[in-house]
Amino acid sequence: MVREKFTIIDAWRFRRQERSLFFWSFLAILVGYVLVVIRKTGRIPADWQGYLPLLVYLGAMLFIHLILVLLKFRGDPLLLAAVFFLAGFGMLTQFRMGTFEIIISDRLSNYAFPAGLALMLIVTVLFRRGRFRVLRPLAIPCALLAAMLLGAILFLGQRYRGALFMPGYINPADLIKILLMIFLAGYFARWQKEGEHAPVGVTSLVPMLLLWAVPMGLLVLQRDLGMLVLLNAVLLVLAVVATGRISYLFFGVLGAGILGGVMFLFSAHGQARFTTWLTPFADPTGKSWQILQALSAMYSGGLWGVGLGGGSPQFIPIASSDFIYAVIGEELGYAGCGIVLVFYLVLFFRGYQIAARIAAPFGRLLATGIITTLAFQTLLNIGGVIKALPLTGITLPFISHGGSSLLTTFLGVGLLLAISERETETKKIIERPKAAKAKRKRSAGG
Amino acid sequence: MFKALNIPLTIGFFLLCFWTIALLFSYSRPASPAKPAAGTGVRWLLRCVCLLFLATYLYQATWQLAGFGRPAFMDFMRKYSRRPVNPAKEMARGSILDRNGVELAVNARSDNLLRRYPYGRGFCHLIGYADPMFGLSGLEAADNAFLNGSSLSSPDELGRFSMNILNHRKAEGNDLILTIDARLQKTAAALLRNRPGAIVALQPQDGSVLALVSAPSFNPEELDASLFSDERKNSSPLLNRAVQGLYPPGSIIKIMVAAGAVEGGFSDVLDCPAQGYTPPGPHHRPIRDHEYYEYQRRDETWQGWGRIGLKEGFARSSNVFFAQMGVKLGSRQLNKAAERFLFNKPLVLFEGSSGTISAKQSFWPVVSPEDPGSLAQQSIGQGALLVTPLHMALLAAAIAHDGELYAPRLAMRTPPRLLDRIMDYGVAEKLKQLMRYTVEHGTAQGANIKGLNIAGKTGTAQASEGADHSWFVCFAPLERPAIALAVLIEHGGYGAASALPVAAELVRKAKKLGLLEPEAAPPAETKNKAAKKNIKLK
Repeated sequence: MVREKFTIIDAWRFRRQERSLFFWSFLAILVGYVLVVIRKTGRIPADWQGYLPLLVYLGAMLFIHLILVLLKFRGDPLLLAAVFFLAGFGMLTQFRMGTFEIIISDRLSNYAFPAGLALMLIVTVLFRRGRFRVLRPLAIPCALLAAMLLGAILFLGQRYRGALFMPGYINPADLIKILLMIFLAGYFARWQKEGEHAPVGVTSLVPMLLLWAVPMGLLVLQRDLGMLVLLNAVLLVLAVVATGRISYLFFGVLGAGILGGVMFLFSAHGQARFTTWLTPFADPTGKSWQILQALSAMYSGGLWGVGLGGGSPQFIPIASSDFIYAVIGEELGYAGCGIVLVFYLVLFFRGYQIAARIAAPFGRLLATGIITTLAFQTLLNIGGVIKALPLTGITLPFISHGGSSLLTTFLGVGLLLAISERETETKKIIERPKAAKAKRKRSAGG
Repeated sequence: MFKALNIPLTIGFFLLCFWTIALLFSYSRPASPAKPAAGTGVRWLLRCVCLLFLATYLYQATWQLAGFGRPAFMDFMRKYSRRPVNPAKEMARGSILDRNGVELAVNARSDNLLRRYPYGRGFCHLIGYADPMFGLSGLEAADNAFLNGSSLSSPDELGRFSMNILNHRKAEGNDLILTIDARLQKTAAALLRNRPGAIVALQPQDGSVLALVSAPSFNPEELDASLFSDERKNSSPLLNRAVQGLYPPGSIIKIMVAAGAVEGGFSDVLDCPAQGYTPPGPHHRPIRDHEYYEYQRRDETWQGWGRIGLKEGFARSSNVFFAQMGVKLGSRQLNKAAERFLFNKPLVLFEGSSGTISAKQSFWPVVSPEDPGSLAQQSIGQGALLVTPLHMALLAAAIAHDGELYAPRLAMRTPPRLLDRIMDYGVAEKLKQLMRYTVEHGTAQGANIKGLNIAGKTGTAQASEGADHSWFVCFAPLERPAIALAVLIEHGGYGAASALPVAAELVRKAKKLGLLEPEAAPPAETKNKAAKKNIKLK
């Protein structure tokens, strides 16, 4: 087998889909941007400064694309395309909410968007070509780091709207999602051979669970119930995927039910949210005000929405972060929500495909963990806003306003992109781009 | 000037998004094969995530697109949504109308009142209320989805629902048309004069409910918390006595016992002495006719009825006669009759889009052959036996319609449904004659009004405390029955004293309204004649 050289030209061709999808996404975001500006100011800005957020977006995306081509990156182009759209949509929504004003800003979180994109690129470049495996031996240090971070927040943080924040309203707790995924993937991968399930018995799980209990306990102390639910759900999923034993899911759900029930008895915060969820009309002007206003906004939006920038998000408390989905529902309607969900699903679909194609257990489990975290996070947020689930105070990836949450999301996607290039290293798979290229030529010709 | 750009730009935004999605799907088609063994778990995970998202998105539609089906939510929006677009204020819940199109419940355009009820109290149990504070009850609750335009059970409703989804800023509900005649119902409510009791009027030929009244009542436009508290428990104004009230039937059960006797070919003449009849076996007290006690009160001696047959026994409502006859007929015959006459069976008044209104089950304790005491008691409508007024009205309707029992029908959109033939044509004919004879020569002579041709049976039931309950069950006119009635007045004394005048007045009113005319329901009438012919041929 002759090893064909993969040149920059090849990379430019390979990333063609990403480019064209980005082009159309950008056009859509541009139109949305103009709509918002017209609603806000009543005119179309003539100077370039009026388009600054859009230019930042365009510049960042072009930069990322060109760098990846130059580095002959062969990671998943469609995953990146979905990220491009969601990031643009998030930027657009935050611009509409007035929380994305780059020029006149001294708040740290406003730089989260460009910073997140930069972080994604850096992580992808650093860990590409299978280099993400250096993370594998770091499993236990990662867990300890997560515990230390949480401890630091607990001692140094201030309480604001029921959650703990470090000075400057940064909540580094989000970062532990990635740290703990590395920990779980590394731990489960220890027993697993390529292409087989790990023969992990219950006893060998005990040390892991003990270590896992430290950050979880700290989360309980912080009353961050949403994060607790999210991380434990992902733990269960990973345990089942790694071991192939459905029984873990059963016992896990049972255990979580019992533990959750006990905690529920002692947590007034959790009880309040639960009763609000079950009986929203018991206290419509008090505890249920936020959720009912969100649902009212969505009902006002209907199928096609009242138009971007035309809604009234000021009636929903904390609309720009936790309840951003309700704003989308009001302004772009049920159809607009569908569009956003389709892009999320494409992202998750590609993510899981990446995971399924990797033979090495660590990479597969890490990719599964990251994607599952993102998927559950999206579900918990949207489910909370539409009253399918109790409110958990979890943000919507890419779209919600919030610095560390956005950074963590981009960090995770960066890792995922890096993992997706892993397979092209081996000789076997080098053939595939060639075959795909031939196919593309054929379809272009026809 | 740029505002004109809003709509084309919004359309452009959506089109660009859809185009991007289409491109994305066209690109992602050639998927490289996954490692089979290890990929299984991940692929299942992907499927689960997709399903969860789909479920979430569908649930979202129940709020965002079909929120008009949630009355509490609409009420919240009406009050607290200050958005420029407020579809909740524009949405129109369907009205409730009577058979002639008279409005019984319509939308109120005010903040603290959802609905106006032009007829108020007289319809409060049947229609119920839709209140921002106290929720829904009655028909408003049972047919809520239909009234809100979110029910899907017929093509029309489906069309309305789709239109509401597409244009939910002006969502409209369906109008509920009842078989009730508002004028008759109003008269019935007035006749009860808020005495605790109930009236049910049916059309025998198809079970259509013409009036269904319960008293005491409440004003559905002015609900307050005290209505729901314990202090008014004794009068229970919220209770719909016509379907939820269980009462001892007293003598009106003799209709059923007589049916059993006619069926069994009973033609004996029984001795009915003044001292009464004591069922065989120990510990039984004699069963006497009330005339005995009346004479006793006047320090006179009553001679008793002497030897009488079924006709006289029925007309005089003789307890002594019926107790003896019941024991003679035996428990098997009576248990069988009770089963056919819908005792111990669920009885549904209305099956709506969001729930059903059903009557309490009438209770006939199954008697064993070794228990002639209970048999005698139940044959005169006492003992542990309990019935609802609706059930008794249905019984009268079945006799009036030659033994065919139609399910009660409250909404015009519900087709008439024949439940069962509960007795032969001949038996029904015989019972009709018995009931007419009772009006002409027996206890119900107060109802012998010229031109009405009422046939009926009085009932006086011993209550567990206080005065007796007063019953009257009847149908009219005899030749071609067009209305069947059951009237109950709690603690009203003799059936002939308080329930009978109410029923007679109501039949008079029905005649005045033209409800007794043959053209009231022509299709059912012709069917009825055909059925008669068939039976005669046999």
